[in-house]
Amino acid sequence: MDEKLSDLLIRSFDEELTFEEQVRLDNVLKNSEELRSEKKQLLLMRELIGNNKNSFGPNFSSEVMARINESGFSSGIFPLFKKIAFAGAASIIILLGLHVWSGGSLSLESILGVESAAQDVVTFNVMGH
Amino acid sequence: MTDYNSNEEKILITNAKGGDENSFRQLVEKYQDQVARVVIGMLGNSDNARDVGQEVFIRFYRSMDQFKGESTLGTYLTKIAINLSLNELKKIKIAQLRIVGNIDSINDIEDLNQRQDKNEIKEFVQQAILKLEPDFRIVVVLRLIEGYSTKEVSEMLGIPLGTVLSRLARGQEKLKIILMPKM
Repeated sequence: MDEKLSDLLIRSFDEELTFEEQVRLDNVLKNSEELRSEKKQLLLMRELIGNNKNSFGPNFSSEVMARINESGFSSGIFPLFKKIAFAGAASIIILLGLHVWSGGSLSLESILGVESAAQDVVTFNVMGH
Repeated sequence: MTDYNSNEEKILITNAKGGDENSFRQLVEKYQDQVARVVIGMLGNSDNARDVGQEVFIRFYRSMDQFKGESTLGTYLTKIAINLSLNELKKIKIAQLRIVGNIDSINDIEDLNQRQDKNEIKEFVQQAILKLEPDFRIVVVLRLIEGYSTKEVSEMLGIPLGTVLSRLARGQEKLKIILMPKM
């Protein structure tokens, strides 16, 4: 069998052939028992493949629901948590930025306000003397 | 291919988005066969395929808010099923090689027309499909099993129509070589 003809035949099932290709295929199909037989086989093959209907069988939806419930409904809360967490993180970064911009230092003490508290204590002690 | 039943389905989706478990379950039941045909077509009938099938719906559950109905739900789920199946194929490449090894032995199997058992024929065809390279296999599954048009397959996979057509033709050539001697 001419490979080009076989290819043309296969293509004819899924795409529109050019006018010349279609005429050529039709002519050969009229005259070639071999090509007609191949067409029948290809159609049978496509039918067999098309009938290859698989399924997951019983209980599939219950299994899906069980897995969703396991990992679950908390995943519905997760996006909300994420939004709050992002907003919180953004606020902290903005506050830190403002702090640095206004001339503050980035030491842990200054961020926590411990530095000024310590100074207050020293002042208090001096006065106590 | 499952038809998009707009009204009833939209209500189910809206309810499911609102947290109605029963509506979501109905969507799973409606589309599980469609997802099964794609996933099992790609991975074979295995526990892996079942896990991937479940994962398809779990992913959908988690991203339901992003589903705006621009494509049908069937197409949306099919896309998830394709992506997860291809990921799974990458993960189990070694296992896949083992499966292909098994498929080589199908030459010893008796002719199709002597087979009385439909399940055996189905399994034989399934094994033949699994013998295709994943790029060809997915096109064959979507076009010949799911019945999508070549244009839809092209859009779904994000590849040119010409590529779909050539993969489809080459896929069928290979299937012909495997199946026809038995027909």
